[in-house]
Amino acid sequence: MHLVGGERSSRVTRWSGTVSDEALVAGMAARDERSAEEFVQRYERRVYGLALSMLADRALAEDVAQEALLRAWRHAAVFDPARAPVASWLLTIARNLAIDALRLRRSVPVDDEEIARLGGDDRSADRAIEAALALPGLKDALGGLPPEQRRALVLAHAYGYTAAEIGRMERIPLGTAKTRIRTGMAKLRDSLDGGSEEGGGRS
Amino acid sequence: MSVEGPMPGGSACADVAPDLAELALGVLTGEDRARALAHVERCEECAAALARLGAVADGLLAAHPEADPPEGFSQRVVSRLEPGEPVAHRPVPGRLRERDVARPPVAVVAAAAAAVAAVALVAGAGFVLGRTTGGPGGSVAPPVGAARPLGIEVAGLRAGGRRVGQVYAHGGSSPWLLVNVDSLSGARSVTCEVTATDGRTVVLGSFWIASGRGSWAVAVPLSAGPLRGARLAGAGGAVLASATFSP
Repeated sequence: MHLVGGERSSRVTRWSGTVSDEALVAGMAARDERSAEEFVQRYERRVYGLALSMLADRALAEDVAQEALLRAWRHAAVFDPARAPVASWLLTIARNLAIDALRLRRSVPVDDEEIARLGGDDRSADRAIEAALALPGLKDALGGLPPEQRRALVLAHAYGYTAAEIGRMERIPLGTAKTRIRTGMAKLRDSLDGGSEEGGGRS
Repeated sequence: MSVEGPMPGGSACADVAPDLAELALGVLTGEDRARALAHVERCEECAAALARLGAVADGLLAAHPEADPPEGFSQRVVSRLEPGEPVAHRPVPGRLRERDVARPPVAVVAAAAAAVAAVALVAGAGFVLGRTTGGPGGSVAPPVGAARPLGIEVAGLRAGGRRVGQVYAHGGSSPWLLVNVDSLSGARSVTCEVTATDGRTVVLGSFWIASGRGSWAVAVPLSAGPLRGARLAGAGGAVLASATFSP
């Protein structure tokens, strides 16, 4: 029920259960709080789950998840469904925030002198990779890759490390780190293309 | 294929190609990131490659498990929503898939938003989609899966008997319309207009179609009154697609 122009009116609401994500984002751009409430309820488990799996800290994960949803509210006007699905847009916001939080508390040294000082004793990358691959979804997604590509993708995707940082952590040249990321992503892409109904897409 | 600049498969593509996976993962930084973004914006081939890698990155995000947030989470989020003026949901045309809202293409959107927000302030007789009150019981179903109605109505956007997109409309005191075009070939810029149940037509504005796709949301002036439908017109004024809301 809405009061419109001083006249009580009734709206046709049969579509409420099937309102698209895009329509909810448009509603948020129009500063419609009901759309935002529905959006939060629809996505809270995914956003919080992503943050929790990356941060392993419930309080920090809630902070990140709240901020991600608030940013979706603030930036709804620039969301473009032609470029990315709503879920991807929102989860990317959450991931970026989680990576920012990780960088603040990161114990893995990325400074060359730190690396040199620690020599071969640094095992934090291994611990980070093991933690990420303990998640069934990621293990399934990355399990088919050679170990060195899997490690590079986990460090880049789940922890936000750049190729240069991965190169230092893994003690490999920058070019090798970039190649591992690129090759791993290409294999996942080919696997995705092969599994799609459209059958592989363009070259 | 490159629309402008280097030839397809030229040195610019070769320079950028090794960076696309990192760009899709959001871990490319500095000059490399700037160079890759600038190239992808004007190169269809590399934009397509980036889009496919972006789908992989999306898949990795979706692979993380869901989890129940702490009690009261959603209420805490909603209590922190800042009020504000309605703004136009008007993405900037282009091929670039920007994955970081910390760098939104604000300038163009803000200009459009200001214009639309001004329109939204026009007072009028009221805006309601379709029938206002007391319609046949069959046409007013209870909301599905929601304690309170969202009040959003959807209609298929059709062109020549073919479904080419959807139109969503929301009434209330801040009415708005969202147009999603999925496949409308041969159009570059379209004008969106709504038709009121009393036969009047209100032009809401124009937006771009790229590769048959486009999306646009706009505040609807209250003075438009109850709506019957919406339509998209091409540059010459010919109606290219239309949608009719359920009476």
